[in-house]
Amino acid sequence: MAHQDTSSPAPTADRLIQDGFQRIANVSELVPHGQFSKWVDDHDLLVCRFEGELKVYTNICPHFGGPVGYHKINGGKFVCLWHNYEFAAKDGSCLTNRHFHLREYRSVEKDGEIWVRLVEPSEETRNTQP
Amino acid sequence: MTTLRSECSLEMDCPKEVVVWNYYDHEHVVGTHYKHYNYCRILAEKDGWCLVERFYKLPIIQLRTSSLGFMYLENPNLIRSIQYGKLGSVLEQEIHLQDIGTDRCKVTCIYTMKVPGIFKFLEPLFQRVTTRWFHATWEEDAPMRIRRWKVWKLGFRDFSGLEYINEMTEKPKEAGEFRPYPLQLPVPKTPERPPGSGYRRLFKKSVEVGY
Repeated sequence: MAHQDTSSPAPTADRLIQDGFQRIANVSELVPHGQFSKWVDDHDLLVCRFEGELKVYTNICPHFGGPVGYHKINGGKFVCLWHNYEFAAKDGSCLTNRHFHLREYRSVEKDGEIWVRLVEPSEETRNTQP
Repeated sequence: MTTLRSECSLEMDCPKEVVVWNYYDHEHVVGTHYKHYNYCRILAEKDGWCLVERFYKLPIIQLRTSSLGFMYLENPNLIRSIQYGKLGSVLEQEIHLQDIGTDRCKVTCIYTMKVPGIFKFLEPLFQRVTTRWFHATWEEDAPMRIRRWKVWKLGFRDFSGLEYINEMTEKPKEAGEFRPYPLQLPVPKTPERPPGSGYRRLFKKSVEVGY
Protein backbone atom coordinates (compact mmCIF):
# COMPACT_ATOMS: atom_id res chain seq x y z
CA MET A 1 0.00 0.00 0.00
CA ALA A 2 1.23 3.49 -0.81
CA HIS A 3 1.78 5.95 2.02
CA GLN A 4 3.58 9.07 3.09
CA ASP A 5 7.29 8.65 2.51
CA THR A 6 8.99 9.48 5.81
CA SER A 7 12.38 7.93 5.06
CA SER A 8 15.31 10.15 6.00
CA PRO A 9 17.23 12.16 5.03
CA ALA A 10 14.67 14.45 3.36
CA PRO A 11 14.93 14.02 -0.41
CA THR A 12 15.80 16.98 -2.60
CA ALA A 13 13.32 18.28 -5.17
CA ASP A 14 15.52 16.92 -7.95
CA ARG A 15 15.53 13.52 -6.32
CA LEU A 16 11.76 13.56 -5.96
CA ILE A 17 11.32 14.43 -9.63
CA GLN A 18 13.76 11.69 -10.58
CA ASP A 19 11.72 9.28 -8.47
CA GLY A 20 8.54 10.18 -10.34
CA PHE A 21 7.00 12.57 -7.79
CA GLN A 22 5.35 15.82 -8.79
CA ARG A 23 4.45 18.89 -6.79
CA ILE A 24 0.67 19.07 -6.58
CA ALA A 25 -0.15 21.68 -3.94
CA ASN A 26 0.98 23.80 -1.03
CA VAL A 27 0.33 22.55 2.48
CA SER A 28 -1.56 25.81 3.10
CA GLU A 29 -4.38 24.47 0.91
CA LEU A 30 -5.22 22.13 3.78
CA VAL A 31 -5.93 25.02 6.11
CA PRO A 32 -9.64 25.77 5.52
CA HIS A 33 -11.00 22.24 5.94
CA GLY A 34 -8.07 19.93 6.66
CA GLN A 35 -8.67 18.37 3.25
CA PHE A 36 -9.07 19.26 -0.40
CA SER A 37 -9.37 17.51 -3.72
CA LYS A 38 -7.96 18.35 -7.12
CA TRP A 39 -7.51 16.78 -10.53
CA VAL A 40 -3.92 16.20 -11.61
CA ASP A 41 -3.27 14.46 -14.94
CA ASP A 42 -6.63 12.65 -14.86
CA HIS A 43 -6.14 11.56 -11.26
CA ASP A 44 -8.64 13.06 -8.83
CA LEU A 45 -6.67 13.37 -5.60
CA LEU A 46 -8.14 13.61 -2.12
CA VAL A 47 -5.54 15.15 0.18
CA CYS A 48 -6.06 15.30 3.92
CA ARG A 49 -4.26 15.38 7.20
CA PHE A 50 -5.52 12.67 9.49
CA GLU A 51 -4.15 12.31 13.02
CA GLY A 52 -1.22 14.49 11.97
CA GLU A 53 -0.31 12.37 8.98
CA LEU A 54 -0.59 13.52 5.37
CA LYS A 55 -2.77 11.17 3.33
CA VAL A 56 -3.44 11.21 -0.39
CA TYR A 57 -6.20 8.94 -1.72
CA THR A 58 -8.06 8.71 -4.96
CA ASN A 59 -11.17 10.89 -4.69
CA ILE A 60 -13.06 8.61 -7.09
CA CYS A 61 -15.52 6.30 -5.37
CA PRO A 62 -15.18 2.79 -6.84
CA HIS A 63 -18.97 2.39 -6.74
CA PHE A 64 -20.09 4.84 -9.46
CA GLY A 65 -17.30 7.41 -9.50
CA GLY A 66 -18.60 9.96 -6.99
CA PRO A 67 -16.48 12.47 -5.05
CA VAL A 68 -15.40 10.79 -1.81
CA GLY A 69 -14.11 14.02 -0.25
CA TYR A 70 -17.10 16.27 -1.01
CA HIS A 71 -18.11 16.45 2.64
CA LYS A 72 -15.66 17.40 5.35
CA ILE A 73 -14.31 14.35 7.13
CA ASN A 74 -16.40 13.48 10.18
CA GLY A 75 -15.65 10.89 12.84
CA GLY A 76 -12.63 9.64 10.88
CA LYS A 77 -14.81 8.86 7.88
CA PHE A 78 -15.32 10.22 4.40
CA VAL A 79 -18.84 9.91 3.00
CA CYS A 80 -19.19 9.94 -0.77
CA LEU A 81 -21.71 12.55 -1.84
CA TRP A 82 -23.62 10.48 -4.36
CA HIS A 83 -24.59 7.30 -2.48
CA ASN A 84 -23.23 7.73 1.05
CA TYR A 85 -20.49 5.11 0.76
CA GLU A 86 -18.26 5.50 3.82
CA PHE A 87 -14.45 5.23 3.82
CA ALA A 88 -12.01 5.22 6.73
CA ALA A 89 -9.61 8.17 6.60
CA LYS A 90 -6.85 6.14 8.26
CA ASP A 91 -6.43 3.61 5.46
CA GLY A 92 -9.04 4.18 2.71
CA SER A 93 -10.97 1.02 3.50
CA CYS A 94 -14.66 1.08 2.66
CA LEU A 95 -17.03 0.65 5.60
CA THR A 96 -20.08 0.16 3.37
CA ASN A 97 -18.74 -2.53 1.06
CA ARG A 98 -15.70 -4.45 2.23
CA HIS A 99 -14.71 -5.21 -1.37
CA PHE A 100 -14.00 -1.53 -2.04
CA HIS A 101 -10.84 0.32 -1.13
CA LEU A 102 -9.45 3.71 -2.05
CA ARG A 103 -6.03 3.67 -3.62
CA GLU A 104 -3.53 5.55 -1.49
CA TYR A 105 -0.83 7.49 -3.31
CA ARG A 106 2.76 7.72 -2.15
CA SER A 107 3.27 11.28 -0.94
CA VAL A 108 5.97 13.54 0.52
CA GLU A 109 5.62 16.81 2.39
CA LYS A 110 8.62 19.02 1.80
CA ASP A 111 9.21 22.73 2.44
CA GLY A 112 5.50 23.48 2.65
CA GLU A 113 4.71 21.61 -0.55
CA ILE A 114 2.93 18.35 -1.21
CA TRP A 115 4.49 15.92 -3.65
CA VAL A 116 2.71 12.86 -4.99
CA ARG A 117 3.71 9.93 -7.19
CA LEU A 118 0.79 9.16 -9.50
CA VAL A 119 2.32 6.15 -11.22
CA GLU A 120 4.37 3.57 -9.39
CA PRO A 121 7.44 2.36 -11.26
CA SER A 122 7.15 -1.10 -12.72
CA GLU A 123 9.47 -3.89 -11.57
CA GLU A 124 11.45 -3.41 -14.76
CA THR A 125 11.87 0.33 -14.25
CA ARG A 126 12.85 -0.13 -10.62
CA ASN A 127 15.64 -2.50 -11.58
CA THR A 128 17.17 -0.03 -14.05
CA GLN A 129 17.11 3.00 -11.71
CA PRO A 130 20.41 4.17 -10.19
CA MET B 1 -61.20 20.31 -14.28
CA THR B 2 -58.28 22.35 -15.50
CA THR B 3 -54.57 21.70 -15.93
CA LEU B 4 -51.72 23.56 -14.26
CA ARG B 5 -48.67 23.51 -16.51
CA SER B 6 -45.01 24.40 -16.19
CA GLU B 7 -42.06 23.86 -18.52
CA CYS B 8 -38.31 24.05 -17.77
CA SER B 9 -35.43 23.38 -20.12
CA LEU B 10 -31.64 23.38 -19.86
CA GLU B 11 -28.65 21.93 -21.65
CA MET B 12 -26.12 19.55 -20.12
CA ASP B 13 -22.55 18.62 -21.06
CA CYS B 14 -23.09 14.87 -21.37
CA PRO B 15 -25.02 12.47 -23.60
CA LYS B 16 -28.69 11.87 -22.78
CA GLU B 17 -27.93 8.31 -21.63
CA VAL B 18 -26.04 9.74 -18.64
CA VAL B 19 -29.10 11.82 -17.75
CA VAL B 20 -31.30 8.70 -17.93
CA TRP B 21 -28.81 6.89 -15.66
CA ASN B 22 -29.12 9.77 -13.22
CA TYR B 23 -32.93 9.63 -13.20
CA TYR B 24 -32.93 5.86 -12.62
CA ASP B 25 -30.25 5.98 -9.92
CA HIS B 26 -32.89 6.36 -7.18
CA GLU B 27 -30.40 5.95 -4.34
CA HIS B 28 -28.67 9.21 -5.11
CA VAL B 29 -31.63 11.30 -3.94
CA VAL B 30 -30.60 10.79 -0.28
CA GLY B 31 -26.94 11.42 -1.18
CA THR B 32 -26.59 14.09 -3.86
CA HIS B 33 -29.94 15.68 -2.88
CA TYR B 34 -29.62 15.19 0.86
CA LYS B 35 -30.86 18.73 1.50
CA HIS B 36 -34.22 17.96 -0.14
CA TYR B 37 -34.82 14.23 0.37
CA ASN B 38 -34.57 12.29 3.60
CA TYR B 39 -35.81 8.84 2.55
CA CYS B 40 -36.65 6.75 -0.49
CA ARG B 41 -37.79 3.21 -1.07
CA ILE B 42 -37.95 1.26 -4.30
CA LEU B 43 -41.13 -0.81 -4.30
CA ALA B 44 -40.71 -2.37 -7.72
CA GLU B 45 -38.38 -1.96 -10.64
CA LYS B 46 -37.72 -3.71 -13.92
CA ASP B 47 -36.07 -2.66 -17.16
CA GLY B 48 -37.27 0.88 -17.95
CA TRP B 49 -39.97 1.23 -15.28
CA CYS B 50 -39.99 1.66 -11.53
CA LEU B 51 -42.26 2.44 -8.60
CA VAL B 52 -40.50 4.52 -5.95
CA GLU B 53 -41.65 6.21 -2.74
CA ARG B 54 -39.81 9.42 -1.83
CA PHE B 55 -39.95 11.75 1.17
CA TYR B 56 -38.86 15.36 0.64
CA LYS B 57 -39.41 19.01 1.38
CA LEU B 58 -40.89 21.26 -1.30
CA PRO B 59 -39.28 24.66 -1.90
CA ILE B 60 -41.09 27.98 -1.36
CA ILE B 61 -44.05 26.46 0.48
CA GLN B 62 -41.62 24.46 2.70
CA LEU B 63 -44.00 21.51 2.79
CA ARG B 64 -42.54 18.24 4.01
CA THR B 65 -44.36 15.53 2.09
CA SER B 66 -44.00 12.28 0.16
CA SER B 67 -45.12 10.78 -3.08
CA LEU B 68 -45.35 7.43 -4.78
CA GLY B 69 -43.90 7.75 -8.25
CA PHE B 70 -44.23 5.53 -11.29
CA MET B 71 -41.60 6.28 -13.93
CA TYR B 72 -41.07 4.64 -17.30
CA LEU B 73 -38.89 5.12 -20.32
CA GLU B 74 -41.34 5.48 -23.17
CA ASN B 75 -38.53 5.71 -25.72
CA PRO B 76 -34.83 6.71 -25.61
CA ASN B 77 -35.88 10.38 -25.80
CA LEU B 78 -38.74 10.44 -23.33
CA ILE B 79 -39.21 9.52 -19.67
CA ARG B 80 -42.68 9.78 -18.18
CA SER B 81 -43.29 10.06 -14.47
CA ILE B 82 -46.54 10.07 -12.49
CA GLN B 83 -46.25 11.16 -8.87
CA TYR B 84 -49.12 10.38 -6.52
CA GLY B 85 -48.99 12.85 -3.64
CA LYS B 86 -50.24 12.23 -0.10
CA LEU B 87 -53.04 14.75 -0.43
CA GLY B 88 -54.47 13.08 -3.51
CA SER B 89 -52.65 15.25 -6.03
CA VAL B 90 -51.25 13.68 -9.19
CA LEU B 91 -48.22 15.34 -10.76
CA GLU B 92 -47.37 14.20 -14.25
CA GLN B 93 -43.96 14.85 -15.69
CA GLU B 94 -42.56 14.45 -19.19
CA ILE B 95 -38.78 14.53 -19.47
CA HIS B 96 -37.72 15.06 -23.06
CA LEU B 97 -34.11 14.27 -23.91
CA GLN B 98 -32.40 15.43 -27.04
CA ASP B 99 -28.77 14.84 -27.99
CA ILE B 100 -26.82 17.83 -29.25
CA GLY B 101 -23.77 16.19 -30.78
CA THR B 102 -21.98 13.46 -28.81
CA ASP B 103 -21.14 15.35 -25.60
CA ARG B 104 -24.18 17.50 -24.99
CA CYS B 105 -27.93 17.17 -24.63
CA LYS B 106 -31.02 19.20 -23.91
CA VAL B 107 -33.41 18.26 -21.12
CA THR B 108 -36.96 19.63 -21.11
CA CYS B 109 -39.29 18.90 -18.20
CA ILE B 110 -43.01 19.50 -18.56
CA TYR B 111 -44.97 19.36 -15.31
CA THR B 112 -48.76 19.12 -15.34
CA MET B 113 -51.36 18.69 -12.61
CA LYS B 114 -55.11 18.35 -13.09
CA VAL B 115 -57.13 20.33 -10.54
CA PRO B 116 -60.73 21.57 -10.20
CA GLY B 117 -61.32 24.64 -12.38
CA ILE B 118 -61.52 27.04 -9.44
CA PHE B 119 -57.83 26.35 -8.67
CA LYS B 120 -56.55 27.66 -11.99
CA PHE B 121 -55.40 30.77 -10.12
CA LEU B 122 -52.74 28.57 -8.47
CA GLU B 123 -50.86 28.13 -11.74
CA PRO B 124 -48.29 30.91 -11.08
CA LEU B 125 -47.46 29.33 -7.68
CA PHE B 126 -47.31 25.88 -9.33
CA GLN B 127 -44.87 27.27 -11.89
CA ARG B 128 -42.73 28.93 -9.22
CA VAL B 129 -42.49 25.76 -7.12
CA THR B 130 -41.75 23.40 -10.02
CA THR B 131 -39.26 25.81 -11.58
CA ARG B 132 -37.45 26.30 -8.25
CA TRP B 133 -37.40 22.52 -7.77
CA PHE B 134 -36.11 21.91 -11.29
CA HIS B 135 -33.25 24.39 -10.87
CA ALA B 136 -32.35 23.36 -7.31
CA THR B 137 -32.05 19.68 -8.25
CA TRP B 138 -30.39 20.54 -11.56
CA GLU B 139 -27.62 22.43 -9.76
CA GLU B 140 -26.92 19.30 -7.73
CA ASP B 141 -27.33 16.84 -10.60
CA ALA B 142 -25.28 18.76 -13.17
CA PRO B 143 -21.85 18.18 -11.55
CA MET B 144 -22.83 14.56 -10.92
CA ARG B 145 -23.68 13.94 -14.57
CA ILE B 146 -20.64 15.80 -15.85
CA ARG B 147 -18.32 13.93 -13.49
CA ARG B 148 -19.96 10.60 -14.35
CA TRP B 149 -19.37 11.31 -18.03
CA LYS B 150 -15.75 12.35 -17.35
CA VAL B 151 -14.80 9.24 -15.36
CA TRP B 152 -16.68 7.08 -17.85
CA LYS B 153 -14.55 8.44 -20.71
CA LEU B 154 -11.43 7.82 -18.62
CA GLY B 155 -12.42 4.13 -18.52
CA PHE B 156 -14.42 3.86 -15.29
CA ARG B 157 -16.00 0.48 -14.52
CA ASP B 158 -18.84 0.39 -11.99
CA PHE B 159 -17.93 -1.35 -8.71
CA SER B 160 -14.27 -1.30 -9.69
CA GLY B 161 -13.09 2.20 -10.60
CA LEU B 162 -10.32 3.24 -12.94
CA GLU B 163 -7.83 0.50 -13.64
CA TYR B 164 -4.84 2.79 -14.18
CA ILE B 165 -5.45 4.34 -10.77
CA ASN B 166 -6.06 1.07 -8.96
CA GLU B 167 -3.09 -0.62 -10.60
CA MET B 168 -0.88 2.50 -10.23
CA THR B 169 0.13 2.24 -13.89
CA GLU B 170 0.38 4.70 -16.77
CA LYS B 171 -2.92 6.02 -18.09
CA PRO B 172 -3.99 4.28 -21.34
CA LYS B 173 -3.71 6.42 -24.47
CA GLU B 174 -7.46 6.22 -25.18
CA ALA B 175 -8.43 7.50 -21.71
CA GLY B 176 -10.55 10.61 -21.99
CA GLU B 177 -11.72 9.96 -25.54
CA PHE B 178 -15.37 9.37 -26.46
CA ARG B 179 -16.67 6.06 -25.13
CA PRO B 180 -20.25 5.02 -25.88
CA TYR B 181 -22.44 5.02 -22.80
CA PRO B 182 -24.71 1.96 -22.81
CA LEU B 183 -28.15 2.39 -21.30
CA GLN B 184 -28.57 -0.48 -18.85
CA LEU B 185 -31.70 -0.39 -16.71
CA PRO B 186 -32.37 -0.83 -13.93
CA VAL B 187 -29.28 0.81 -12.43
CA PRO B 188 -27.65 -1.58 -9.92
CA LYS B 189 -28.47 -0.78 -6.30
CA THR B 190 -26.69 -1.08 -2.98
CA PRO B 191 -28.39 -3.85 -0.97
CA GLU B 192 -30.78 -2.36 1.59
CA ARG B 193 -30.02 -3.22 5.21
CA PRO B 194 -32.33 -4.80 6.25
CA PRO B 195 -33.94 -5.74 2.91
CA GLY B 196 -36.94 -3.56 2.06
CA SER B 197 -35.96 -0.82 4.51
CA GLY B 198 -35.14 1.71 1.80
CA TYR B 199 -32.43 4.35 1.78
CA ARG B 200 -32.07 7.13 4.35
CA ARG B 201 -29.87 10.18 4.25
CA LEU B 202 -27.00 10.02 6.73
CA PHE B 203 -27.19 13.66 7.81
CA LYS B 204 -29.16 16.87 7.31
CA LYS B 205 -26.24 19.25 7.43
CA SER B 206 -22.67 19.06 6.27
CA VAL B 207 -19.57 21.18 5.85
CA GLU B 208 -19.20 20.91 2.10
CA VAL B 209 -15.65 20.97 0.78
CA GLY B 210 -16.97 20.53 -2.76
CA TYR B 211 -16.14 18.55 -5.90
